[in-house]
Amino acid sequence: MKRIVYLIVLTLCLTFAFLDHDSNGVAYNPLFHSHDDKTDGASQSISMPCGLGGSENHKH
Amino acid sequence: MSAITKKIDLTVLGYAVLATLLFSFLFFTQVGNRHLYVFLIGIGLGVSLYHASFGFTGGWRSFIEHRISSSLRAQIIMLGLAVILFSFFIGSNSWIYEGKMIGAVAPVSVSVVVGSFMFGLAMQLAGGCGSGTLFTASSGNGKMAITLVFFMIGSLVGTYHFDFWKSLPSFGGVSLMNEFGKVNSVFLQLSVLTLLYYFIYKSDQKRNVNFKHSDIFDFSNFDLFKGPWPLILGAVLLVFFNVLMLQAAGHPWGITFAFGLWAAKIVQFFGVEVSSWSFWQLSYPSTALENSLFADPTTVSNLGIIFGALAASALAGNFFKASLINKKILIAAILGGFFMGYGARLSFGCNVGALFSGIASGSLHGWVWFLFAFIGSMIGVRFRRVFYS
Repeated sequence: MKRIVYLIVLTLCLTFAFLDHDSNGVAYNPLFHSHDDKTDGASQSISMPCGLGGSENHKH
Repeated sequence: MSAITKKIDLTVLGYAVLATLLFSFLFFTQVGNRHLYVFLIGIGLGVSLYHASFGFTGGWRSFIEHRISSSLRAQIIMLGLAVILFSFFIGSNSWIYEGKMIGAVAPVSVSVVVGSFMFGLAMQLAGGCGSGTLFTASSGNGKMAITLVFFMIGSLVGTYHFDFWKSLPSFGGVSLMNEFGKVNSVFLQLSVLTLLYYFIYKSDQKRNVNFKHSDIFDFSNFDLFKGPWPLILGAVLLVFFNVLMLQAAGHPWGITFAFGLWAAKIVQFFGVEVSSWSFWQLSYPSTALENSLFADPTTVSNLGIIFGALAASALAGNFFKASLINKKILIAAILGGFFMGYGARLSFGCNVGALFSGIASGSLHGWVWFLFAFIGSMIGVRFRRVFYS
């Protein structure tokens, strides 16, 4: 029984993610925009998932 | 083989398989094929983490308390392999997309020292690090699920205090590859790792008469579907999947950014203006906050890890094994989770994003993180006794 409850909680969390996806959509795709980018992969710098979110922000 | 053959949990396995198919379809059709690759890599990571029981917390604690070094030696080998392989790929064009791959280079700063120390201490309280918390919570460990919730809260609070920590002294990002060149950087890092390995195994050998180098290569109980996998296999697979992550996402594997993002999305849902906080006005965080969660590669790989660990635990017949949670352990989970989250934001990642991917990328901050997180863990194992006695 407990494991079913666990799966239900997980499903609720995933539902929240679905709702977020539904309401926001993919306005900007951090991986795919590199195709449109002609600056030699510079847009990749903002898709880096470290705390500050990219090498651009590391220059402070 | 164990005396008791555990049954595969078909309900949980079915859930994991269905969810994997659903999300694979969603990523492929609505986000992009690279997100699908990142998701599948995440599944590989989740299965590997679970079956090899590859975590930093227990391994560090075993060494600190008993000088048992098997897990720590596997981690050193993992780092060495990653340093070599990443040196070929960082700054090169990806096999998967048109563009260059970048390393996880973050600043060397006071905030990294404080954050990694805090993280190292807290992970001993919680009993799991960033990756450990995610894969154990996903495999039905209730205590680690509580830790994960407070990890997210701590991460969010860390972003709220971002201005203060940013104002403290920093050397900026230091890439050893840029400073010394790729070959010298690899040689330098491998030399340090070799010295560390030597010190670790000598300490173990001195304390434990049964010490064997070969313990991490032990395939005697190996079972592909049910586990356990030997540590060395876990180490090699984590390097393999991190290299694939670099190729697919364009950056190395990270975990904890998504925890802060998930918490930010939730409180934003309840009306908190997170977007006015300076952290969430930075280029990538602001983009991630406005975008679908499914566009964030860290979220996508974390989802893969969740389903991978879920499937692996179902195959092993170990999903949701009741763990003893009393008041003291609950407090340890809450404190550990919160301060891991807070520390990860200060130190630009956890044992994966900062230590593993940072060192693999030749970032000095990865080494600083390793040092201070280990010092924090040395103190953490003492605090831990208060809660787990």
